[in-house]
Amino acid sequence: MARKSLGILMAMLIGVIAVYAFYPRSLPHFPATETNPTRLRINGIAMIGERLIAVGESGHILISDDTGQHWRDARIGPGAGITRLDATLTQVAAVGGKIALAVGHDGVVLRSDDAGETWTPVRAEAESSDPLFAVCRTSTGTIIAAGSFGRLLRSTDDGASFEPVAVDLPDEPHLNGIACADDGKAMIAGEMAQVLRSRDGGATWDMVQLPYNGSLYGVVQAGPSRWVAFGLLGHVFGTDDFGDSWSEIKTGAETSLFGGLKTADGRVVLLGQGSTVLVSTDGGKSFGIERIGGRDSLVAGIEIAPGRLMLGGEKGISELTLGRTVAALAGGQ
Amino acid sequence: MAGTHSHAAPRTSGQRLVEACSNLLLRLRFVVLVLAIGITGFLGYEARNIQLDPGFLKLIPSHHPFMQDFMKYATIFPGHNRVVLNMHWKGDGDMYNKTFMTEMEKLASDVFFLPDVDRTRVTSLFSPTVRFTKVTEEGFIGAPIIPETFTKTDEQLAQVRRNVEDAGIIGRYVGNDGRDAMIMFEVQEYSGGQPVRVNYYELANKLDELRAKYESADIEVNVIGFVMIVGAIVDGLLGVIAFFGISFLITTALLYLYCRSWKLTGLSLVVAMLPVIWLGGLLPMVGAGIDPISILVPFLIFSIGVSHAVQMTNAWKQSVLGGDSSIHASRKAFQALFVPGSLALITNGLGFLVIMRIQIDIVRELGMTASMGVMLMIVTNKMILPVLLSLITLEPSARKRAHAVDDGEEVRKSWWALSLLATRKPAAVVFAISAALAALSAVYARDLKTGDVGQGAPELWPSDRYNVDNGAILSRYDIGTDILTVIVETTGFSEACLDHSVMTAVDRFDLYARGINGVQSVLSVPAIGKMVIAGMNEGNPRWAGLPRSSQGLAVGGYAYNPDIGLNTEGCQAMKVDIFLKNHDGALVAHVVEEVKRFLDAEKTPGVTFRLAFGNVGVAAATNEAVEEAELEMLLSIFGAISLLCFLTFRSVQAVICIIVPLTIVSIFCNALMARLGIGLKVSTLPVIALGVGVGVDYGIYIYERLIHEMRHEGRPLRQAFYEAMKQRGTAALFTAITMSVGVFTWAFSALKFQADMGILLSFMFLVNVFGAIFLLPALAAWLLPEKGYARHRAAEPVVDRAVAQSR
Repeated sequence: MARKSLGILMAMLIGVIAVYAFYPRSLPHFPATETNPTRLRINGIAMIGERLIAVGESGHILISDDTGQHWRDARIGPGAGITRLDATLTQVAAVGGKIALAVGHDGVVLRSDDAGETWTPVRAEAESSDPLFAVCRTSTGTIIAAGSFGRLLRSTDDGASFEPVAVDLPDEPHLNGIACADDGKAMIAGEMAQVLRSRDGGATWDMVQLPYNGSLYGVVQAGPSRWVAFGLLGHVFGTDDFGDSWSEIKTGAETSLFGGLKTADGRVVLLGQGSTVLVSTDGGKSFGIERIGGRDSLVAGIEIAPGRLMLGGEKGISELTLGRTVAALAGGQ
Repeated sequence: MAGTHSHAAPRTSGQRLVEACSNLLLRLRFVVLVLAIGITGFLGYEARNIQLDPGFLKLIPSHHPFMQDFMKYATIFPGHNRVVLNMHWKGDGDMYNKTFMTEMEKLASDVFFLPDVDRTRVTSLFSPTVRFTKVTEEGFIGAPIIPETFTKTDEQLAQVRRNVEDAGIIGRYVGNDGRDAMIMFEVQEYSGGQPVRVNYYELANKLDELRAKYESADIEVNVIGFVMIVGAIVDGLLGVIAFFGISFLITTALLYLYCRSWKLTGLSLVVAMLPVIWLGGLLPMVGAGIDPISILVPFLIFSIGVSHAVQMTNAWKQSVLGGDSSIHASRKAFQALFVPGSLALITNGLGFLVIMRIQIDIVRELGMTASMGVMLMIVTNKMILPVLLSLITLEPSARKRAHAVDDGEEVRKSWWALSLLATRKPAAVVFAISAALAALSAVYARDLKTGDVGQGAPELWPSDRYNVDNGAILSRYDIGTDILTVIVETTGFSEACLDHSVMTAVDRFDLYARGINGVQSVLSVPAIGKMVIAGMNEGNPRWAGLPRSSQGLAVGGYAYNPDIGLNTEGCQAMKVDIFLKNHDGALVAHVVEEVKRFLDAEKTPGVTFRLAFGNVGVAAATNEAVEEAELEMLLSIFGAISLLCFLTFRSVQAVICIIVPLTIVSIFCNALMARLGIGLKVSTLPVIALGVGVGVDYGIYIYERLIHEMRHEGRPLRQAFYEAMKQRGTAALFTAITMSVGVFTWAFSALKFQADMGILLSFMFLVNVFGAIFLLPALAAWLLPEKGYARHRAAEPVVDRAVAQSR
């Protein structure tokens, strides 16, 4: 047999090589599947320390510890009869310390006391799906949440529990946006151009009718005594006397505005349909169009560094640096 | 080429039977001739019915679980057979001008009246179903985009531009930069639940005519869709006929160079054409057509036919030169070659039959057509050719030069030099080189990709008009053409779209799928439902959610309208369209794997997710079927050939000597595919089986002579190999070159997959002969006794003779 050994060895070697060559090939490596922050609706953004929290579509809460470079899903535990959260969340707010609150459809409120890492539902409505739209903490420590059909809730225990606030709203307008000041004042913008205001940290509220009949989606405190409300089809109104008198501000935009914020240097930014970004550099007296004409709506935003905004909208999270257009023009001249 | 010693030996019963057959055949030669002419005439006439049949459904691996309900949902959710026509404005400004709109309107109406168009699903700017809605303080305004009486005044054009913006159709029916508008329609594949035989080629031609009619200095028309791929393929097929002509001419030249006789050249060509003509007549009779892959069978049959004809005419010529009469030479040629030649053809046929194990109709038909052709060749080559040969006389020119190519001094010297490989030390060097090449190739072969590699329609070259159009449309719109569709079946709900548990289950899946690497976007009923609900609330995105109550979900009712095409009545079935970046095989497999991972964990009562439809679903199923078939096919073909070799030669050494070179060449083939960026897919899967099925002939012929010379003539190994090469080497080389050249002409085909097949088959045919003349003697050197079987010769001559003669 020895004389055949090399031939048989060769045949076996080729056999082994063939098995190697034709052995089922494995797939190349692909990045793991994870929630893609640019592919889900984001309705609210908040920040606690360095941590960004974005809430939105189908109960997703995303958090980022590197100013928005990477996002991951926060953990949501069971609570208030909810085992798996699928209600869309509409807004998130930091309410002091490491506590954050998120509100959304089904009247749901979620609470986190570790700066957004883990969340627990503290309230939900089994019967109706009506959404809550807004939440903020007044300077007295009371937390106010507002929502559809004139719903107004109050918490005096840092958001652990909520109770309804009785307020006279005959038309039951949707209460779409809220702003809290540091002097006890708070203002809520609503449907049919109705605005609720409180001067005592949300203990008592009265209703103001603006000279308009459309929906208002939000309100921003633009200066010490200047408040700006915004809404449907580019309508923006300003008041210098906490809502006694309002005047309309012509912006040139005809797209609905859904979100607003004030930057550290005092600029007021309004966000809306068609990727609209309006900016006021005069404390909310007038607005210029920073950007307009996209296809998707911007809904919420927060300033993460001077002039740098993290935005949320129908196409998820995006970043915007303010004043780039102006700077580019100046450079050109 | 065989049988020069047979007349002197005692006959076995098998040989006597073959002899009787040869006598009968030649006694009845005029009857055979008349029959042959009659059959050829009849089948040639029948061949007029042959149809080009590039049906989509034949490409589907129907046994794959993904495809089980394909037919059911293909009728419910059309979409895989959609045609998109894009009109692009090349002139100044955007498309909102009178010229463009006039042409667009005309084109839309022309499209509507094309044959085989599902007229309920023709959609464009001009369809009344494409509407805009606008939110105002008082409520909604909504209307079709194009005004009822559209006279294309500047005012109306401006109105249309605004309506398009309000309708949110930019990126879908209108291009991103306002210079493109689209017309979409479905090909009517079913009418009243019955499949309709669509004339794709005619429809493609009509669409090409429309394109030519509307294209101008300012307007470009792009058309994509399966129909257009079919059109391009059929056009490419017609071009293939020219390649057949070229291949025919090259073969003629090679044949003449080899035999130096126009009579033999002509006879070989005629006889090689016979099975092609017969096949052409038989296919329509069994209800089969010629598709883009089986069109290659005539080339293959013709090449194999020529190579077998060469063996027969060569044997006949040798006898005639030896002084026999034409008819006696024919008889001897038949006796010598009928059995081994038929066996070789049966081996070929076996190779093609193995291909039929692949459960994809188009491949099965390739296997069937090719096997049929090979079986016909037993009649044409082994029976009709000897009859024809008996009727001619060899011209003097061929007599004079008869030995030049086949048996000249130079040739003998080369073969003697080559026979050095049948000695131990050189053989070891051949082993080292072969093993090194095999190992290197194996490393390359690991990179072989399953499925398509590249963009657009992989059947066509990247520069083909279709792929250019596809690229243009993809860049100008937000649409994708690579869609994985998952069907959601619901049971126990009267209106499943109004059920919160159903809708959130689908919604969860939608959100998950959006996060899979390689997915660009996802379209599902709940996603549209959320959009509609937000739209009903003045377009406020914060309302975009799925309410728990049926009444709340009903607000999104427009999204559940079956006319949109995403769900059936009552949402008994819904589809989720997942748009992929491309349809590269690896990406498709990854997305399917990730989708399966989610669905394994998803348990919602009454909700079943079913994979997978859409062109990517078909690609995934096809790739899986191809991958699964690859190993099975390799094992079958190598198993079958090994068994056949073992039964023929009754020795394991024979099997090793013949199979090892084939194995190495198969590894080379996979490595070549990986290096050339050719994916393993429906069109390339059969290549190895075809290559091995045909290539095994060389090994068998040479080994048969080798062992015959050793056992029967008592020659030592090197002498025996030299004799084998002298008798069969030239014929084998000639055959390999003829076949290789014949299929290599496909490399210039307008169809990329034909070019791929041509290059690979050409490589296989050529390199297999090298395996047989270089590696086979080396293996023999280390497996067979160097000094031959002289000792055994006297002991068992009859058995050995029978073994040797059975080939």
